[in-house]
Amino acid sequence: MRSSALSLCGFILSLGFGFGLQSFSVLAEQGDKVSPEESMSTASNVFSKQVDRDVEAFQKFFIKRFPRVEFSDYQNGVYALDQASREQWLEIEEFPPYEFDIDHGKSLFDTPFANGKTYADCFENGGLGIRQNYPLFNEELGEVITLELAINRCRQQHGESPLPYKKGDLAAISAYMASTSTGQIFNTLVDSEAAYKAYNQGKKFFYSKRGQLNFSCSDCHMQVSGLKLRADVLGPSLGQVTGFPVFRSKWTELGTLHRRYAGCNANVRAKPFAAQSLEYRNLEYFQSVMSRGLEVNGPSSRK
Amino acid sequence: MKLRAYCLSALICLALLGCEKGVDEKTDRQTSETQLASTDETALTKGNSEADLRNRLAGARKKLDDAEQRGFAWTGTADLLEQVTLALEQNDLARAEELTNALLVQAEALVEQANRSDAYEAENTSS
Repeated sequence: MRSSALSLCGFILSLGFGFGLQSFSVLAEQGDKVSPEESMSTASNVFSKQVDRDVEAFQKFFIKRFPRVEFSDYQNGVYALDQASREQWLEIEEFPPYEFDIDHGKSLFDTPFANGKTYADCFENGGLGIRQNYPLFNEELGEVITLELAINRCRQQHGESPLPYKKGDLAAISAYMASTSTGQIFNTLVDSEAAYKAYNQGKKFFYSKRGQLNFSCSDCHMQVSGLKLRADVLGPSLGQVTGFPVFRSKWTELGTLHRRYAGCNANVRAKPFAAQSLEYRNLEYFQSVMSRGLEVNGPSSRK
Repeated sequence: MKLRAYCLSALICLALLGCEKGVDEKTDRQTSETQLASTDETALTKGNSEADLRNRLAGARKKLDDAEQRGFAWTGTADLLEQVTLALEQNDLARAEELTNALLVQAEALVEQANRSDAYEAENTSS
C-alpha cells in the first residue's frame, strides 16, 4: 500500500516537474523571439506612457484653474490671464520691438563661416521651421540639446568661436529660426531611459524649493499663477517656453530662456546656474514636454 | 619739652607714611597680579572662542559646498563668507560670530532644500 502511494507521488512529481520544465522552455523560446529592438520599444513605451500621464495631469491643472482660457492661448503667457496686460501687449505687438533682431538674426544666419559653410548646413531642413523640435534628447551624447546650444555647436564644428548664451547675436539667430517656425506644434518626446532621466531631473528642478525665499518654479507658476506678486500677475508655466527668445521691456533687448531662468532664480535669492548648464537644459526639456500641443510663437515681447 | 613733642610727632608721621606706602605697594602688587591673571584668562578664552568659531565656520563651509554640489546655493552666501573673513582678519570676533551663525542657518536651510528635493525625486521617480 505504502509503496504504491509512493510511486503515485513520484509519478505526479515527475509529471509536474516535466510540465514545469516544458513551460519554462516555452517561455524561454518566447523570450528568444523578442528582438532587442522590440524590447527597447517596449521600454520606451513605458517611459512615454509615464510622461503622457504627467502631461495630462499638468495641463488639466491649468484647464481646471482657468476654465475660461482657451488652451491655445497659454502660449501667450501671462497675457492669457490678465486682460489689462494683454491690451498693452497687443499694442506693443503692433510694432514688434524684436523685428530688428529677426532681421539681424537672418543676416547672421545667412552669412557663411570662414570655411564657406553656413548654419543651414548643420540643421535639418536648412534650419528653417524646426524650432519646435528643440530641445531634444540626443541619445549619442546622452544629454538635452537646446536650439541655442545646437547653434553654438554648429559654429564650433565649423571653426568659429561660440557666442554668449543670454543675449546678443545668439538670441537674434535663435529669434530668426523661431520666426520661421511660427505655428508649428511642440511635441517634445521622451522615449528612452536616458531621456526619461533627464526629463525627471528637469521635473525635480521645477518642483524643488530654492533660494532664501524658499520658492520653487511650481510655487509661483502653478500654485499661485494668475495671482499678483506686487503689481505683476504671475504667468502659468504651461506655454512659458513657446515664445522665446523674448524682447523684455525690462531688458530693453532680446534675451533667451536661460537668461530668464537665471533672473527667476535670482529673484528668489537662489544662486543662478550658468546659461545652458545641464540643470537649465533639463528644466527647458521638462517645460517643453509639458507644453505639448502648443504652437511656436517666438520671438515675442514680454514686460 | 616742646622739641621732644615735635620730634615724636614727626616720627609717628613718618611711621604712618611708611605703613601707608607699604599698604599701597602691596595693593598695587595684588592688583597687577590679578590683572595679569585676568588678561591671561581673557586671552585663553579668546583663543578658545576663535578656534571654536573657525571650526564652526569650517563646518558651515562644508555644508554650503555640499548643498551647492547638489544644486542649491543662495545669492547672499558669498557676500557673507567675504564679510566673515574680513571680520576675522580685523580680529572682530563678535561680528565674526554673528556672521558665522547666519552662515550656519543658511547652510542648514540649503541642505534642507537639497534633502527635500531628493525626497521629491525618490517619491516621484521610483517608477
